[in-house]
Amino acid sequence: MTISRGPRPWLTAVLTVVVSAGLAGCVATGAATPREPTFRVVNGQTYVPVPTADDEYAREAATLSLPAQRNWPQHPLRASEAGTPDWYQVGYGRQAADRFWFCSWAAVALGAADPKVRHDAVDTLQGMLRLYYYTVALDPPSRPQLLAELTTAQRGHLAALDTDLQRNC
Amino acid sequence: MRTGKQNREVRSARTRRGRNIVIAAASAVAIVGTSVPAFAASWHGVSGTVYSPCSGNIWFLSSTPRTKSGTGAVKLQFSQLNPGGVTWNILGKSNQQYGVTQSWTGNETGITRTLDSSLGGGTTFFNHFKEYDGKCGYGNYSFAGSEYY
Repeated sequence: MTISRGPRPWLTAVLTVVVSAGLAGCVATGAATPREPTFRVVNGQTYVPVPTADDEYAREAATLSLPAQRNWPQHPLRASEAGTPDWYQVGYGRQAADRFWFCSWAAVALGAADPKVRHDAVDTLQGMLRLYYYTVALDPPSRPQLLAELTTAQRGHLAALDTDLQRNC
Repeated sequence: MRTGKQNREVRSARTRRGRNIVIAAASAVAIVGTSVPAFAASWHGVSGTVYSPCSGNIWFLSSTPRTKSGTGAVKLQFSQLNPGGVTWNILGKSNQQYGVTQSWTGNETGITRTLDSSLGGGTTFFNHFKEYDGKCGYGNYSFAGSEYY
């Protein structure tokens, strides 16, 4: 004998809540703080609050070596100037760590009086082309500019690197 | 018949021509070797979602760095907008805002607005946006458009 019946009412209710929360992009941290989601997902894009983006930054920073006398910032990501909630797209913290690493070595390359130190720093900077910042985050139309900047730096011409340092670091 | 002085002048002229050619060639090599190619500004696609659960006060910061080609304007227009519209600006290093904040209502597709009239070439920025009217219940919060940089 085959028994056919609809889903139980309580299961329907639970599924409705879960699916609604998922579609709305809100995953509550718990009953005590229902209005503070841990992330928001809509159409495949995920955004996280500042503390989570900070963690992402720290994880990437742990894989990179800064020049001597340089330290990672304690709180690299900031809330907006207006003080309103700011949500960072996943990957923002990671690319920001890569960028800080790049800026640190660019400062060495441009500030070094010793040609060997300068040369080594420029060599180190080529590593940017293998990092998340360049391979994933940087939009494709912008990649040729960074590539040209690094290529000319290897030839000993640091003007573009200097402009980058002044404007973006 | 050429005098010795004339011969010296001819040799001198040849030497000068030769030197000029060498200098010109060296300059050309130097230009090729040192210059970063000129990158021209153009339109690039942008898309995303400005979902905010009925607050309208939540800003989203893209994780995509974009670098301005040549000094000039950064502009934006939409081919598709959510009914709640969108408010937009661009941020740079240390979340510093460049230019002004602009807003589009839900029916303002095809309208170009300038976010920064003169952003320096080589400046990297991030898109920062939120829903314009902050109302909920539209069901669709996505947008698509083009950004000039």
